[in-house]
Amino acid sequence: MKKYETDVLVIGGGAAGMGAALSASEEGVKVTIVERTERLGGILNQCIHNGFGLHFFKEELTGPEYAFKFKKLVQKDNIEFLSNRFLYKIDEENKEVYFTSTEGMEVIKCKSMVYAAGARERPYGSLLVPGGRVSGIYTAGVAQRLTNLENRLPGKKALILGSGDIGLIMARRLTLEGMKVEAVLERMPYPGGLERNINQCLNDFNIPLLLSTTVLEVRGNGRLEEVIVGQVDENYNVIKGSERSYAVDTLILSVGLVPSTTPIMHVVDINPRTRGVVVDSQMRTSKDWIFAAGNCVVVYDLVDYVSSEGQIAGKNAAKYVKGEEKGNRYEIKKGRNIGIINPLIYSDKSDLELYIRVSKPDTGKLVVKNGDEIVYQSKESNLLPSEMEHFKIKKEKLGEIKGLTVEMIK
Amino acid sequence: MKEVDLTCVQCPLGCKIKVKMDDAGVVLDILGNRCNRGKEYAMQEVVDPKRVIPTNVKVLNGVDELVSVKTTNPVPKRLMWEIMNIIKETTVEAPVKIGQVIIKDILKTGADIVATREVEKVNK
Repeated sequence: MKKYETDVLVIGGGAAGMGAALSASEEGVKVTIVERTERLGGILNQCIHNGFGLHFFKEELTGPEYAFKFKKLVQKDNIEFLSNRFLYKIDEENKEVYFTSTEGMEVIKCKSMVYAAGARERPYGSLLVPGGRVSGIYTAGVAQRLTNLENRLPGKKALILGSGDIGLIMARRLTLEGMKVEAVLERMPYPGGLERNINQCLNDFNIPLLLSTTVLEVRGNGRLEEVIVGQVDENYNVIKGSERSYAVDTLILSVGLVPSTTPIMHVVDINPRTRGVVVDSQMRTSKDWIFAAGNCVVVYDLVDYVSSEGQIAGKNAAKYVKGEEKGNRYEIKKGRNIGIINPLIYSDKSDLELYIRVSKPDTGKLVVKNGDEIVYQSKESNLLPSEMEHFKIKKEKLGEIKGLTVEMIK
Repeated sequence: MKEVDLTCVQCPLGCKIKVKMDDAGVVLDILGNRCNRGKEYAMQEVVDPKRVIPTNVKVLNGVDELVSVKTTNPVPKRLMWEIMNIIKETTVEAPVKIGQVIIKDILKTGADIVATREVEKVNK
């Protein structure tokens, strides 16, 4: 069995993994990236639309351009890239990580690790839609891969279920390629994706967005032929008489991403609600030598956020190799109307950089309290669960920690 | 006087912008943008909306069948279909370099169609 040795092992060569490798290498340690596919870049390679990089590179880029710029940054002597390898198991005691490759099983001995495996799309099977097992049903990412990398269109006429950003972007993409997109359906009473995408991907092409509407049944003989949709009330029960039928051969699902944590779920703590890896503000997991970053931790709105979280993880993974002790850790509590918050733990060796989603649309201010004292307060604004808030509180400003809470106030 | 409400598409922040115009369509005020790009977007949007078009061009003898491309500047939305039809009829020979101009000054819009990734030549 082939054996490798490294200081910082990075699992995944996407935006988070490349960010981690870059910052770890800047600390002067040896870094090895292990990637499942044959190239760096992860999902960016198939996201050919623009809108990436405004925070990180200060210019507007497409996904492949963003990946290319980052690839150039990680082509360094102290970063090794191993492609076409899949994580098999983690031997915690010896800090040895096993991979399958085309050459067979391989093992890498490391001093610390950054897990950056990204997320997977929620599959059709999890929706429990009644009907036969017809072909013509794709997740948005698969449709995107077919259209943008493999030069194949998924069908002729489509409905899109779920108004997440990938679904909205695919509505435009498939329309430009000559498919007819009948409508985008969203079960919630508000859209799942960014406003700008509703504007430039749906409104520009007169594609209707039907809120509080979902798929009730799929019909077809071999290939999808008909989709029955209906409106739902506030408890997501179908409103009788609201059913209508669409004659389509394609159903695209954009119903959310789930952090990809299966290979590591028995090694580190996982958030049971989101299935993301639990990390502190240094991106350290429940194991001192394992760090995590990117969509395997929490599903971010922007790749720029993913890259910068990757950099925090990589830097701290390298500092661990150099013997830096970890800080004291404090749980961050969720107050009124807070849906998602990352990190869930504050480490007093770092600033507190928070990414937050509200549970329900709301108008007010986001506040962070240390004990009874307000240490951060946002401007009054309208917040949607689909739009992630991001801000940073300096370590010095926090002082002695008396219990951290994040909440939405009126 | 009339008001137009827009959502800026220049970046993922998606600022909600209000444009106030007089009856002749002259812009009097722009509110709600958080940067200058938003102001420029709003000025343009009420006159002749423009968009960047990201799509693909077919590649001959490449390791990939397609190369992703974009317009170097936003182009008028009304020309989008015409531009797509030209791009669909276009092929490019591998190797393709990132930033390589595939169609110069498409429909005299001042924007080029450029590659946004590299595609290597296939080894035969």
